[in-house]
Amino acid sequence: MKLNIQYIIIILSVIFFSCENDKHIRVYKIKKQMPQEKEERKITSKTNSEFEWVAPKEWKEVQGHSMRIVSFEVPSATGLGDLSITSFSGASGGIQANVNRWENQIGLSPSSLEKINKISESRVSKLGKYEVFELVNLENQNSAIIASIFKLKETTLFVKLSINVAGLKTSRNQFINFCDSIGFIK
Amino acid sequence: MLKILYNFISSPKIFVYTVLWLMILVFFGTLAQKDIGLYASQMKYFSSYIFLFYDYIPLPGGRITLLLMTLNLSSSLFRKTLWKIKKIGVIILHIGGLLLLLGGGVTAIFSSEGNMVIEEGGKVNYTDDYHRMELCFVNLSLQDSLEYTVFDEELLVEGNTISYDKIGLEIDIISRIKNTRIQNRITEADSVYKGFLKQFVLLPKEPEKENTQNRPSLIFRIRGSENNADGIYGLFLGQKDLDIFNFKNEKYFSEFRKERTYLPFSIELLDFKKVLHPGTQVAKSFSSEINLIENQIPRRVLIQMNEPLRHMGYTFFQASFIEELKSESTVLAVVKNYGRLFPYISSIIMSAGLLVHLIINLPKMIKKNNVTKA
Repeated sequence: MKLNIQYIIIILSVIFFSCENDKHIRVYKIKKQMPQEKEERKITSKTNSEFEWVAPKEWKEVQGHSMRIVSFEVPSATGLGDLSITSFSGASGGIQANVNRWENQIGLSPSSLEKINKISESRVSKLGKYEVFELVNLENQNSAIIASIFKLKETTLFVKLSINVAGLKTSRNQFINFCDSIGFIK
Repeated sequence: MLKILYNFISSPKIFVYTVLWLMILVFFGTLAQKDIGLYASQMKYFSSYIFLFYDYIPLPGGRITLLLMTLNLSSSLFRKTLWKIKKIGVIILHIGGLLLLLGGGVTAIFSSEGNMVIEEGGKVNYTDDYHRMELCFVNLSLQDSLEYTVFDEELLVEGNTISYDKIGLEIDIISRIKNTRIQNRITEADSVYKGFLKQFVLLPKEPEKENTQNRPSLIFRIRGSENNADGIYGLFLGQKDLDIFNFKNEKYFSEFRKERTYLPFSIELLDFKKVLHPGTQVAKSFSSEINLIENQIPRRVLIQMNEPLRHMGYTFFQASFIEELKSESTVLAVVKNYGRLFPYISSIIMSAGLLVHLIINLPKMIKKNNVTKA
């Protein structure tokens, strides 16, 4: 059989281009993190609300204000912190108004929305996406707040931990894990 | 015709010219690093088939040159004149050279490199590519898992439309920005802009020489969501405030991130240590004490400078660290190189080839030397 250059080019082209993988779309699933499965020291806590969560064993559930869904005493080496979960209908003033209110509580001047967006951290919990805000007054080591805002369909859920600056550093990861674990009661 | 082609391809002159051309590429590629950075220079001169010299003159790049060299070496093996016992050394040498080129090809096509950032106390089971990006949509509505739909770098080209039937979406890539400046909108945004782009605009700025210092972004239009999620969205690398959409009653968020490769094991950072040069803030050495967790069984390993961890074809080098107010993170460079052994093997083969050739030709050379002396 007599081959000429055109045939060779065609054959080589077919070989080369058939190697191109045009499946550039991948789909995979990753199991949502369930802290209670991994760490025995944590316990699941529920109240009469529609939410459930996994709280660290060291945290003590206490009677709080009637507006609160739940309150915890958060121990740290430098004192106790106060954690609360509250839920309000609608946007409840929005992110800026609430962060400014917390800033005022620890003696900070109110920040613009742009600055708030810069300092916020987006995370995903069983309820969906939420924002974490860490507010520290460097002039007053006794005042710090770490809080999360969950914008739900009809309500806004607030998780707030008031603690001293040193306590915030040691309790931060527990707070984040706690917020990640909040979900609707199945 | 075939014979002419074969004679041309297998000509030793081709090998000489390609070697010379490679030397020129190495010279200009090295100089170009000063102006365009290491990665851009590597892509332009060595990882390309054809490149534009001074933006006008098309010239063969590293890949086509090496491909030509491989064809030349392999076709020369079919020369009848080569297959003689006295040329066994040359044959071995050719095979060694071919193996080296083959290893280069394997490395270029299949190898991957990236980094792994682990916070102290944290656990990570994926690596982020240094340069390649991906767009992913994450379904948050599943009960116990997050479903990721990932669109690779190749699809994220300006003007391209991605149709993905599974979630009934059409995504038009409007703009891909290499380095981004984020600016507040001065006037109210048109209703077509959604999420983050309602308040901000993504503008291009002069790219940095080192690609890893750039903040890439992507502007795309979503069609076919059958609700008000249709519109133009913007994402940038490292974005915190991710937009959530609803598609067919399921909640998604999208993310533009470094291409992620999942590993069959995970690494937990137990402790990160750094030693500074006395009286300075310059790191002398740093090390990561880690748990290598495979099938839920942890194994304690110490990774430090010049002492990488090698596991399942991956090599983890201690590359850098991130020090923040509240925590420290280690940065491990992760390399998977399928062609890692080729240079060693081919070097041994080529050395053996040269030795055999020398031994075979030694009597002839001695004889020739004696004749010259006489």
